[in-house]
Amino acid sequence: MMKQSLSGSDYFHLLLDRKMLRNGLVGNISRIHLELESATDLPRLEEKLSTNKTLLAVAKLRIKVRWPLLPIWKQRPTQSHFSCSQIHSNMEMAEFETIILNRKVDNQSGLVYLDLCALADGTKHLVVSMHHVLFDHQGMMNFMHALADDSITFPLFPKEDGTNLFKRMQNTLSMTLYMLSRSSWKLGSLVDRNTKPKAAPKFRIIEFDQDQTTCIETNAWKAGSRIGQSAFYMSAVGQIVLHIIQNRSQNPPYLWFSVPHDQRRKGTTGHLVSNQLSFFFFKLTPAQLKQSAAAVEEINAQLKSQIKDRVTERYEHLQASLRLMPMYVYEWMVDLASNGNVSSFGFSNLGEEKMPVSIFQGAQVIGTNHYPPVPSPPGFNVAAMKANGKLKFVLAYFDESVTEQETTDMEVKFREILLKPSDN
Amino acid sequence: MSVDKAKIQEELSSYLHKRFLAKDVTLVPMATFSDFGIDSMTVVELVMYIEERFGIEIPADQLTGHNLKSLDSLVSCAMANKAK
Repeated sequence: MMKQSLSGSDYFHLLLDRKMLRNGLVGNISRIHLELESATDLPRLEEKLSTNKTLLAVAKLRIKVRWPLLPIWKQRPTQSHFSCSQIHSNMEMAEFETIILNRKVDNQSGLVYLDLCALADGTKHLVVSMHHVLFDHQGMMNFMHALADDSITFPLFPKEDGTNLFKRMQNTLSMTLYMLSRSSWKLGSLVDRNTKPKAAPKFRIIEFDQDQTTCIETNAWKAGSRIGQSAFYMSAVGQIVLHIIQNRSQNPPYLWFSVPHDQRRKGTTGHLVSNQLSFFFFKLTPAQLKQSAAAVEEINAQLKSQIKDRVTERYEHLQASLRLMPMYVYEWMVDLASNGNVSSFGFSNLGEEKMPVSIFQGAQVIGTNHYPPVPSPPGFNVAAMKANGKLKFVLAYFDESVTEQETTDMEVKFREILLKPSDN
Repeated sequence: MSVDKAKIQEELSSYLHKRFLAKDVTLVPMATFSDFGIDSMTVVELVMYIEERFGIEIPADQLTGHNLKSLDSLVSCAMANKAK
């Protein structure tokens, strides 16, 4: 294997992993859960997967941090037996949620793990747990396609960025100044930076039917969300987070959050391993969050300003330069900007479902869920997605960041904001 | 600046190739942006590019899914506003 460096966003995901582990979590791990037809033969499926070349290549990958040189990917020698999957029989749903949806994967024993579960109610499930250092969203989709069908393959790594060194250094410097000038020290947060969640994250899935989805998209337009609906969704998430914080008798001067933006070259499905992500950054005050229209207007203005300043490209170069920092210095720098709170909440819009895997190694797929990692702080993460014309939001949180009652309040308010015309 | 539809389309296509598209990808003007994985944030950038490069401002109420569906529809929308 050629020597391949981790990307800047891979290294950032390692930083998040370090923070999550310190707070007692299992790490920065994404999961994709497929419910398979009940007739699926799980031992047979495991056997098939054990010869899948993509899985074998990814399962052998490890990270080597070798400061002051760049961190690199390396492949362990071929294993004599397949050791990244397990079959579980007669499992209760509670066990499934607390054990399988909290499966740890790490650099020691492997960055990917497959759980094949037969639940006591007769249903069959496959959960793919993947460390976020391995894949961005497109990489995960590619990986799932390659697992589903042995004939589908992807290049393992991306091509190196050809931007010249001078431009990279220029972007790094200007972006450092940009970030320092936009300190988020006083951001509102649902969880104290030192809180250690005691149990696995919880997930609440909010689904809308096609009519409701049409209504939400109309409301997004009315609220000023012009190109796509992301600004409307972000404003709604900001409003529910602020609502809960204010109900706790706190009054933060603003919420601050970042939104990932895919930096892959478009027009192809691209490579498998390594994140190519950058971020947009948003700061919204309680006054702006009083109404969707005002929040959307502010988000649009901040977005346009950042596009004009080429923030995503420059931030990608800053991230790439930070690979040369020892992790503790990197962490100190990130904490310096946000007082250790990272952000007020996490948000990503996964767009149209890119994983129409209806058949997985011959088995019919009944349903798909994507569980994003939940860093704490912020302890609250929302992923938006759309499939078959229907919108779906996954709210991920910890008991320590939001109580069940607060989550219910959030869901009620969230539905109200999205479904009511923009003068909410 | 005197520009016609072909000129705007050519420049936008060239900008898309330079900034966003993978090598060897051929952009078909009539194909939808989503066919190429071009997301809404990128389309915002294209609208801003048209404004800066050609001085054509597309009013907010015309930033509809229909007008922003493809390179061809975006350029047609820009041309309609150039004439105003």
